[in-house]
Amino acid sequence: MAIENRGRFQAQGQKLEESVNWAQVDPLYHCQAIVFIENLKNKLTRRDLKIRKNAFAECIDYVNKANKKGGIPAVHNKSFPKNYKERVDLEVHKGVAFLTKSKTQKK
Amino acid sequence: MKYKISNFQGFLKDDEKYKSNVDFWKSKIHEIEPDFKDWMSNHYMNGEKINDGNPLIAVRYNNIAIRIIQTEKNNLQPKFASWIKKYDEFNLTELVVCIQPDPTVYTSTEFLIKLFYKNKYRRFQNKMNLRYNKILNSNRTHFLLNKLEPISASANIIKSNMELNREAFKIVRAVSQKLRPNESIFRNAKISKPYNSSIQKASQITAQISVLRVLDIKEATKINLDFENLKNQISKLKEEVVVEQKSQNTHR
Repeated sequence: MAIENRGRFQAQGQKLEESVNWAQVDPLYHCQAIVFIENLKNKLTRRDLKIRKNAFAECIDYVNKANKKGGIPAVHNKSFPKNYKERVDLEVHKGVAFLTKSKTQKK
Repeated sequence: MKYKISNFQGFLKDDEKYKSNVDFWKSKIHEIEPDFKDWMSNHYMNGEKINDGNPLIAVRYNNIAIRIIQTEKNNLQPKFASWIKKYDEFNLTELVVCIQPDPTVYTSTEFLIKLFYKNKYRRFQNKMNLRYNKILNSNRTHFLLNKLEPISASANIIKSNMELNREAFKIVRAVSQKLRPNESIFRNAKISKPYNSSIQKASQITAQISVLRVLDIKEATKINLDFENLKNQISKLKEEVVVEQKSQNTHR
C-alpha cells in the first residue's frame, strides 16, 4: 500500500533542529499526533523545552481544535508561536492529519 | 495597492480587513512575479476557513516559496522576524516573515521579498532581524522598568500584618503575564541576566501567592525575600541599561 500521509513536528531555532516525522498509509490520528509531540519534547534539552513551553501548548491546542473540525488536509504548515525564530512547526506534507480514530480502527 | 494602517489593524476580528490584508500582500508579490501561486490549505476538513494570520499567505513559484505570518500590534512582541525554511520533500526554500501592521515593517518586508526573489536577501534579513530584536528588547526592558521601578525600596509584598500589598502584587503579576523568561535574545549578557532573573522572580512570586489560601510567617518571609531579590535585579538592570545607553551615545 502506498504511503499517502506524511508530515512532521519540528522544533526549530538558531541552534536547534529536531523533528518527529510520520509517513504512513493511514491518516495521522489525533492520538498519534499527541504522542509524537510528546516524543519531540523528550528530544529537547531542558532549556530548549523551557523556551518552547508555550509553543508546545499552542501546538497541542491547535491539534485539538483541528481534530474537532474534522482534521487538516495537506499541504499545511503552522509555526508556534507565530512570531519567533525559537519555535515549534507543524507540517502536514501529504494526506490528512488529526482525525479521530474510530473504535473499529483502534481494534 | 497602497498601504493604509487603518485597513490592517484589527484584521483578526474583521473578515473584510483580513481579506484586504491577504489581497495587499498577494498584489505586492505578484508585482514581483505574477506566477506565485497559493500552495497550502488554509481550512479544516469541515470546510471552515482558518483566518488566524498563521499564515496570512503562503505562495510558491518553482522552487521558492514565501509565507507571511501576521499578528496584531503589540509592542511587547516582535514587530518583525524572518527565517528560511527548507522542505526537502518539495525541493523548496521558503522565506518566512512574521510581521505586525506597521508602515516601516511593511516597506522592509516588501524589500526583503524582492531581495529573496533575486537570492540576495541574507544580509538584509540579518540586519532587519537584529534591528527589530533590538527594538523589542528595548520595549520589553522599558516596560519592566516602568512597571517595577516606582515600587518603593522599603515596600514588602506581604505586609507586617500579613496582608497582601495588592498594588505591588498587581504590578508583579502584570509583568509575569506579559513577559516570559528566556524569550528575549540580548546581545549584552549584563542586561539579559537581570532581565531574565526579574521575570523569573515575578513569575515565582505570582505563582506562590496565587496558590496560597492562608499565609504563615515562614511563607510570607520567603515571598518577601523573593520580592527583595526582584527589586535588586531591577536596580541592576537599570544600572546596566544606563551604562549601555551611555556607551551608545559615545559611539554616536
